[in-house]
Amino acid sequence: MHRAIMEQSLPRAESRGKSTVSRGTALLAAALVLSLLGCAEELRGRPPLDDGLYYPIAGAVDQANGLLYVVNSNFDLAYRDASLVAVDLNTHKFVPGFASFGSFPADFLLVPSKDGKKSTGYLAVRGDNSLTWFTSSPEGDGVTLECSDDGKGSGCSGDHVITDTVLPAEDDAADSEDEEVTLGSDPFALALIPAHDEMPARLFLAASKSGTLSLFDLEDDGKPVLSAQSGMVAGAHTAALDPATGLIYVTNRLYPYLYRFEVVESDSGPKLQSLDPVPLPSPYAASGQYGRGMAFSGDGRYLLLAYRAPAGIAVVDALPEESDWAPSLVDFVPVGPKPGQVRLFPTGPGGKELAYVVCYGDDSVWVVDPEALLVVDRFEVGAGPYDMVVHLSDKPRGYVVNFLDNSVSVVDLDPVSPWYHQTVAEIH
Amino acid sequence: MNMTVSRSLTLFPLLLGLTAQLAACTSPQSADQYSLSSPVAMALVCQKASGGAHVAAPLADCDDTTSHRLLAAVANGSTGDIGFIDLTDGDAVDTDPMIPGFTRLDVGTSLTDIRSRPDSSLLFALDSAEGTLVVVDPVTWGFDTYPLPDPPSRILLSDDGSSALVSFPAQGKVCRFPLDEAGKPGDGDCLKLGGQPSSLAAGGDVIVVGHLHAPVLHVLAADTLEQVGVVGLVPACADQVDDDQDGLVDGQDPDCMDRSDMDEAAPLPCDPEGGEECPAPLLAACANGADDDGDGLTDLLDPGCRNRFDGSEDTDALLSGATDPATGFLPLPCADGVDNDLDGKTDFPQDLDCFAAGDSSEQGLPPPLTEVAVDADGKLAYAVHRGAGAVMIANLETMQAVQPGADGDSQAAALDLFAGRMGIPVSGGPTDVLFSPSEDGLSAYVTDGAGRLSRIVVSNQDGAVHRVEEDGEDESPTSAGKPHLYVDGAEVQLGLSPAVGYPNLGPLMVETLDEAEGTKRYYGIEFSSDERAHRAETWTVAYEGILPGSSKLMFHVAGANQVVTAGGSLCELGLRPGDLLVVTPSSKPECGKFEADVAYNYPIQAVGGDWIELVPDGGWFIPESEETETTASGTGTLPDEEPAPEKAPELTEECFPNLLKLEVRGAGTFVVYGSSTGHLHNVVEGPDGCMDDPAGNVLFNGRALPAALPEGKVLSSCPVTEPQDDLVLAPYENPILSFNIFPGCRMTEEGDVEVVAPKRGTVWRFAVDSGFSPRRVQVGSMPVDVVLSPVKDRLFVLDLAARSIRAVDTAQFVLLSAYY
Repeated sequence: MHRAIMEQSLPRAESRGKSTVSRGTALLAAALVLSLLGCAEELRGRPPLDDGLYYPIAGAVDQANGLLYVVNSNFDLAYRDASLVAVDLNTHKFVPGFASFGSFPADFLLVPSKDGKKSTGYLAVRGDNSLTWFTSSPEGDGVTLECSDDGKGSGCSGDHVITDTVLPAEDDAADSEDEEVTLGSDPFALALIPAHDEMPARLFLAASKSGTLSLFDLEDDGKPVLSAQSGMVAGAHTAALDPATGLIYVTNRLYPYLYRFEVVESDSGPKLQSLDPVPLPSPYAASGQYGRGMAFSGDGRYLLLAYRAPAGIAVVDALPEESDWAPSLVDFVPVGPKPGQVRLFPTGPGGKELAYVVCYGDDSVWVVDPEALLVVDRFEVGAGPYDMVVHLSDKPRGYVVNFLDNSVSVVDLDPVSPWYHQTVAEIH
Repeated sequence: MNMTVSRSLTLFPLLLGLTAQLAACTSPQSADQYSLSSPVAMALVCQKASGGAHVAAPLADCDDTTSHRLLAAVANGSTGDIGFIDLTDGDAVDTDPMIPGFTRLDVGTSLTDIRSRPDSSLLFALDSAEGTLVVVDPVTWGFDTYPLPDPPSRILLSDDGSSALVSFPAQGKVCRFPLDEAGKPGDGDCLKLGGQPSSLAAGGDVIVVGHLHAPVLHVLAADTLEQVGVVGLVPACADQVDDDQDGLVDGQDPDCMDRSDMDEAAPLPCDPEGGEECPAPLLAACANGADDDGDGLTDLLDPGCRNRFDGSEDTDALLSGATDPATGFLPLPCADGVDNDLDGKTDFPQDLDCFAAGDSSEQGLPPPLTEVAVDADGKLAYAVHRGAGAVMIANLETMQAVQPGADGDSQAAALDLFAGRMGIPVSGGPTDVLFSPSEDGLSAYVTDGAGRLSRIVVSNQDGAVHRVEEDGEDESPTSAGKPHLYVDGAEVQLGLSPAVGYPNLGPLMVETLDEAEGTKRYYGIEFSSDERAHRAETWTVAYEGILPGSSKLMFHVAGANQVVTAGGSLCELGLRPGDLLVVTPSSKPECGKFEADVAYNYPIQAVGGDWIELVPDGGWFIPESEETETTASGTGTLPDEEPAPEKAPELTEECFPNLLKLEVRGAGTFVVYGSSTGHLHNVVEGPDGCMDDPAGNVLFNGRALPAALPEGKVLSSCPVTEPQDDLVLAPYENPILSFNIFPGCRMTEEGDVEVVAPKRGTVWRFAVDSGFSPRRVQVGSMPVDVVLSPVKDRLFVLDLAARSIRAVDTAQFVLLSAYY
């Protein structure tokens, strides 16, 4: 587009002698070009991808409606924005309806409504340091994604992109004021705290670079409202809620510790209180090789943490704070190189829970029995697998998001199937 | 020759060379420099040179007296291959010279264990991902793979190599497979044990099986594989095993008094006046088989009962349902109808992690993830209990757990027991254990999560010892740092002498008591000679300090001069009559009788496990007043006199209808506690409430008194840091340290020196650096396997994170070499 304008505005040198272009016209043309160049930054890249996969980084399954949502990260900024697309799990085809938002999204949570008819999605977005949220509901052959104040268009904006917000004052004292805050640099990890004991559902967000921790109350429509903030060291990677104790655990890729936080209710609202971190192995001096994804076993007793130095699953005995024993590393199960996300699904024989460890380094998923603490299977998927989600049904299937392949591997998770733990299809 | 041909002829060698170079650079699989990638287990084989090659030799022959080579075969977990290292010359062994670099033997996907036949002819490895047994010839590198019924964990070969026992934790079973000459397994004979059997060890006529989650060892007859016993690794009344086989387990068994009871079959305590047959056993309300409170629930089924020492079935905690609007107490986790720990079992007696309905948590002990070793006679087992961070001891003759120091001859062991530390604590958390004969008995080698190897003296010529060996070369004694004085939370800056006006522990200097022995007094503090009892911790000496743990409980005012709690034992905290219950309302109660932020003190008349009776009309408080600024630099202004106490309003439910957090303070005494040792006491729960155990350790003392000056006497100097003629000392002593508390003093207008009474809020804190140093050697950062070498006084430690094998000389106890 730029080139076309320049060719039209600036005549070739060899024809200048014969042209009658005035100086004023040339100046006007130059000004026009300059202004367009200024706008070019916003228009850089192609329109967001609405029907394909491009550096996909996360996924979530709408169980009730048989849809897979995949987040395209726009990792090389080839597009203007990152995007969220939806795939029909029966046909494996992209359905109409998508949303676009800041590039480099990280964590993605999809929270279904009680009636299962719609969902609310939350994204930690590093590109614009935001918490971006949307609602989604099936409509016809596709989905309707509302991600703006007027509910129109595909670009997330307005109240749905939270960057700057207000932290309520701690008390009602006259000199106590609400504070304008940001969510910190590099929002990365999300954890959902379900509603309980008359407390609303909440969302926990950790920013990796600045270490800012934010706690949001979720309103009935899913809108997050900031209620507390705190901080930790840089490097947060994954956050998870311990279902047995209600504590929030955060892994850190830069430091060999597992960080823990408690939401403490007070008269002036919730507070995020830090507890003693759990030390983890630190055999190497270089950082960036420590904690990655994690998941709690169904009974909440164990935390399975993907660790990179050495590569394996660090098994942490997650105990309640009031017990006489402190949570500690109790075992280590070696898996493939560069393990990332850990997901637990009831897809073993007889509904047994199994842990699926997505290993970026060898393009495979390692399957660990969390009770026997053994690797029980391994299957290959596409290049650069980053996340795995599951659609639980009579024929359960797993969906592995392959970052380097621009694909999703479809894996058979039916224990009685002859193709159990094998890739049976790919979505491109 | 035309130019085209000439150019071709010139280029051809170049192209050929380039192609050859490229061929050398590429290979069908990667060539790794290191022989260990993710090492999880190791086996040793011996080989001797024969006709230009190597052949298998009995492992015992590689004892350094021959020129045989000793090879380590290392199972690499996540790469599914076996790496070989020549431990004789330190070189990694290349199993495929055609591939550049050291090539490991690729046999599977995820290896978990490896063992060798004693004659070194074959290696046996397990692959959990493939569910296979891999049989390897370590001479030819040939291997065969055989399917197993389920994902295997560990393997144990018989002494003659004719059979292999394999554990299958997910299926709760172990199976023995006969092996033919080539190592091919026959049909397995399986024994279902339940739990998650994993580690295996053999000794004498027995095979011992350790579990991942259950704190027990199964003992099997080695020849028949029949179960001959089950040993709990924790006290019998907490091991979730029916030790006395009466159909009742732990708290269900009326012979179990509490969780620390070591015997499920012990007789009930008798009334000493009951005669020989003890017809009138002294039973508390929670052990008498009667529904004392008439709520339809008896003894431990009643949420008012925490254990069988509990003297009252009464409780204000609800059985289930919503919060009691009357008291605010939530139902207790072991009686609330909820599977709190999500283990599929709800409350007592179903969830065996609950000792009683009044227990405070459904969470049991941490899982043991046991690694087990058995002595050569099959009479003693050591089991690593990773969750507890200790090595547990099991007597395989009596099928009983052995608790070191239970006979009371070790203060260090007694302190461990008091703090709830079982077995032989290993700092860093033990990861593996191995027995080895010593010069005069038996030793055990233990690796820990901090990458160290320690030695435990199991027995010597004097009998059983079960203690971590001390580093005899480390002569650093236990010492204390300079104490810090805090008054009302603010630190008082001290120079070279304590502050006048405040009690002190002695002169602020280190004094040599015995030049020859090297004993010293550190700032007034002396240490016992048993360095094993000493720990690195911070000690607190607080006048009328809060008894540790009391401020964590919630209380309810049950009536005039009565408060109750739920989910905790006041006797276990060391409360006793005479202590003070302190209520400091954070906001003014609506009854109008109390003020906010004022401490109201109520002397305790009687206390039980979950109740406190206050002295009627005994409460008092200090009204607020302005205090002049005080300095405590040794001279100058002295602390002001406090205003006289006033009578406190009666503590009633009307004023405090909701649950409260209260403090219990030692009245008129200094409360002493260590950050690791805790607050020592001998208080136990009797039928009438908390009482001093007449058979308790007299040194378990957590309260100290200052030296006193008889009436009419005066001090000769101030500050007082040493004994004076008229001063009556009240030395404080516990198994770790001792000191005197010298009184604060001041000059009167007449020029005399008088004692200043101590004031609440006066706290001394000092750090202790323990002189006990276990004998240890750093062997890596994540040791996973320790193996005895056929070479005398040598063993090898395999490290997962460092990807190395470390050789240790056990005679000198030093690191010899490392192999990669």
